[in-house]
Amino acid sequence: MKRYKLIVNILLLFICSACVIVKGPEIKFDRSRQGALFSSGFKPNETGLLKTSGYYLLFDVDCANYLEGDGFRLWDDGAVSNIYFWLRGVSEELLSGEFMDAVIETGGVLFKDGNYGYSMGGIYKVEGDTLIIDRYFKDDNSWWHDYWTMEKKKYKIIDDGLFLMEISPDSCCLQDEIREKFCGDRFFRFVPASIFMNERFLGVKDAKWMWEDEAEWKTYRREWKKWRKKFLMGAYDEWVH
Amino acid sequence: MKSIRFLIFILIGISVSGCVMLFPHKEFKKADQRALFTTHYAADPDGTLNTGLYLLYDESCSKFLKGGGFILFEDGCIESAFLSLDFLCLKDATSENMEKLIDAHFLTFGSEGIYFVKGEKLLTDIYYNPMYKIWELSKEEYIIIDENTVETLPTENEINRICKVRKLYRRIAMFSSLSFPSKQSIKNKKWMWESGSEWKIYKKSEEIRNK
Repeated sequence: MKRYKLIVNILLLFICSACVIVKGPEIKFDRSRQGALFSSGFKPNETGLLKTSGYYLLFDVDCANYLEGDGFRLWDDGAVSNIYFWLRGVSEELLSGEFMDAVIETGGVLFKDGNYGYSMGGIYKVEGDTLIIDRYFKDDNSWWHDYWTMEKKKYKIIDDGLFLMEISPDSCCLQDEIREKFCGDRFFRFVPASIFMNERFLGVKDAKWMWEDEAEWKTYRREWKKWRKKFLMGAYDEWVH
Repeated sequence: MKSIRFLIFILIGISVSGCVMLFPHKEFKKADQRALFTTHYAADPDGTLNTGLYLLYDESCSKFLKGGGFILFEDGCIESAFLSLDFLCLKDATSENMEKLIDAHFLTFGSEGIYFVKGEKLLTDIYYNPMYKIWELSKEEYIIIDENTVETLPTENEINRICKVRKLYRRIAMFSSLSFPSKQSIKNKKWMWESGSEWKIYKKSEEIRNK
């Protein structure tokens, strides 16, 4: 009888383990590599060198076409939202601010952060004419619990912030070499837009270790909880702002 | 005692069900399949299209773009392909470079199916097997522009209304289907054949070939 109970308990534990994370996510990167932390006084784009009222999209400078692929939005408080632009071969002339909003409304853009549990957003800072973005990911490859990873990317700011040129891949591998060989430098071009996923979906802002000061993190969390309650009560239009 | 045993069986059943399905089923009927293999199956009897690797193509820039594509094989098999590179210039699409892209996983291959040419159109039935549980069928239609280019019929949606970008697929001339043998796993399925006896003949011939 005892043996059966033990087996039942083990099986129950196995089933539950897939649904419940007992331990919090582990940080699997060197914390000293973090380029910036959130704080109320953190304003990385105070000079206005970068454009924040729209998205930076992958751009083919030879053909003046926007390409399918990753893009991002920079917030004034240092946060970075990641998107995936589904359309391909869209010419520069076609993609005005009005058009970008229409693309978002019709599902041409995937908001990557938070929705799918992997991309958690990021933080940026500016050093001279270089934009440095730390992107954070919560991997769920582990059987037992999630862990955080971080990717650092640098971009040269060109043409008053209209273009960004990726200058340093985080890791050097066969993939980076091949991409550089066939596609050359990666450019991102700014596109104005007015529809953005709410910044509160950025998981990176929820992490205590992403904040300079614990008290400020607690204040942010209190406000976030109030907002979530409102959102869950039915204020679904709050998902964008 | 019996109830505990019963509970254990239920729990084992639940645990296992997430990982293994003993009898994968098909989400389509025989009537949904537009083509089936026969001993002398001819996908394109008039030779309207060249076989080989077709990828999304931007004709204004002469570049292959990131996205889906396919390989057409002589025997009527089709295999889906995906280019995950930002773009690939037409001049760079050499056989040697394509091999490099495959090695670096920028060019990957996936589901298989069957194709046929009917009039001015290429019709493909691709079979997906997500999580090895259920077979799903995806039907596509392309207009044949020339012997190396096809175009998807634009679907009536809001994005296509605002963004009039042609979805062309162009064959990479330097990359022959002969240099990339089909996996042919779909051809081993009995339900992909017109008759059971022809399937048996095929299986036997394959066994002899592989010896």
